[in-house]
Amino acid sequence: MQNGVSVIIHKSSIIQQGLKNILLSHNIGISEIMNTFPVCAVLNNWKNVLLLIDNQYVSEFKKHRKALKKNGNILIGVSISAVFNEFDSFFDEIIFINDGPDSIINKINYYFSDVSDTKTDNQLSIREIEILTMVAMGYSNKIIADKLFISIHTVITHRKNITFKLGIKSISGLTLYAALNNMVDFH
Amino acid sequence: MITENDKLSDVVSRNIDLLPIIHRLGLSQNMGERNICEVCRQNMKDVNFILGILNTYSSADYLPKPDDLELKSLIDFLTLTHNYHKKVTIPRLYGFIVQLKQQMPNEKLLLIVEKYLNQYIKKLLQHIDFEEQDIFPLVNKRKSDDEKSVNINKLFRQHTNVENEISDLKTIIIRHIPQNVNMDLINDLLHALSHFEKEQLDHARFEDKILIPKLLVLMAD
Repeated sequence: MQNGVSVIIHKSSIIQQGLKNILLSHNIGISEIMNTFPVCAVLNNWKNVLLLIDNQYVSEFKKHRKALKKNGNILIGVSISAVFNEFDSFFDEIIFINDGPDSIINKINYYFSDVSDTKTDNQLSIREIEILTMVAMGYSNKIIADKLFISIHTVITHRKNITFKLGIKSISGLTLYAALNNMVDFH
Repeated sequence: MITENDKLSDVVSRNIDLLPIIHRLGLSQNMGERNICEVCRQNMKDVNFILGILNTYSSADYLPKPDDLELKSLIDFLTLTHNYHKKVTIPRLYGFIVQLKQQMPNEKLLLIVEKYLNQYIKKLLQHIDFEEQDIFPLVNKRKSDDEKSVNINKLFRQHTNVENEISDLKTIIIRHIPQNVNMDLINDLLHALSHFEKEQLDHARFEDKILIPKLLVLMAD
C-alpha cells in the first residue's frame, strides 16, 4: 500500500472538509475528493489506496467491493450514524460521526502501519500478534478494542483472520500457540 | 444402517471403534456368530436401545426415534461412558505424556501440552460432575421447573467450544514435533487424542440431540 494516499467519497461537503483537515494534520495525503460514487473506469485505477466512502453508497459500493479489495485498497465506511448498521460489515472499518480525530487517525493508521506486513498468506501481522497475545492473556474483545483504540468489530475481524491463518479455533488453543511461540509465559 | 439381523461381530469388524461401546453395553463377550437380535435376547437387552446407540455412534446424521432410547437406560449408558473416560481414556493420554517426558524432560512442547491437557481434563471432570449431580438426577428428582431449565441451558452451553480444544491440540503438536523425539510415542499420542476427540464429539451429540430433547419433554409433562 502506498503510504498515506487516500480518496474521500462523500455527499456532504462538511464531512469531506472535516476528514480532509484531520488527514492532512497527520500527514496523510489525499489524492481525490468526490461527492458522488465514481464510474468503473475511475475505480479500476485505484490500487493500494485508502478509500473513505460514504456508507450511504453501500448499494453502489457492494458491486465493486471484490474488485477494489483485489487491487489492495482499504475500504473505510464513513457513517453519519453513531452506531453500527448491518451494511457496515461490507467495509474493513467504519468511522462514525461522533468519532474524535484521535479515534479516526487510529483507525486509519492501523492500516497504513499494518497492511505492509500482512502480505504473506499465513504469517500473522504485527497487529494480529499483538491481539493474539492479548487474547492469550485473557483479555476480552472489549478490553482489547479499548487498549488498541480500535472498534470491537475490528478486533473480531482480526480474531477471525488469526483463526483462519493458524487453523486454531479455541481460545485455549490460541493460548497454547502463543505460549509455544514465546508471546506469553506459559507458566 | 445397522439392523437387528446384522451379525454383531461383523458390525464391530467394519468399525472397530464400536468395540468399547459394545463392551459398555455389556455385549462384548461371546458374540460368536449371533446377530444383534439374538445377542440382545441372550443378554436381556432392549434391541431398539442397542440399535439406537450403535447407529448414533456409527453415523453423525443418524437420530434415533424418541421411543427407541429409554431415558433411564440412556443415562446409565452415559454414566458408563464417563467412567470409561475417567478410568481408560484420560490415564492413557497421561501415560503417553509421562513416557515422552521421561525421554525429553525439558522439552517445552511436552511441558506446555501437559499443562493444556491438565486444564482440559479439569474442565471435563467438572462437566462430568455437573452432569452426574445436576442433570442425570432430573429424571428422578422433583426439582422446580426453573431449576431444571437453568441446568439444561447450562449443559448445552458447556458443550459448545469444548470440542475444538482437542482438535487444536493435535494441530499444534503436529506442527511442533521436536527433533529426536520418539515418533512412535507421538504417533500413539495423536491416535489416542483422535479417538478421545471422536468420543467427546459423539458424547456431546448424544446429549444435545437425544438427552436434552428427552429431558425437555419430561419437563413439559
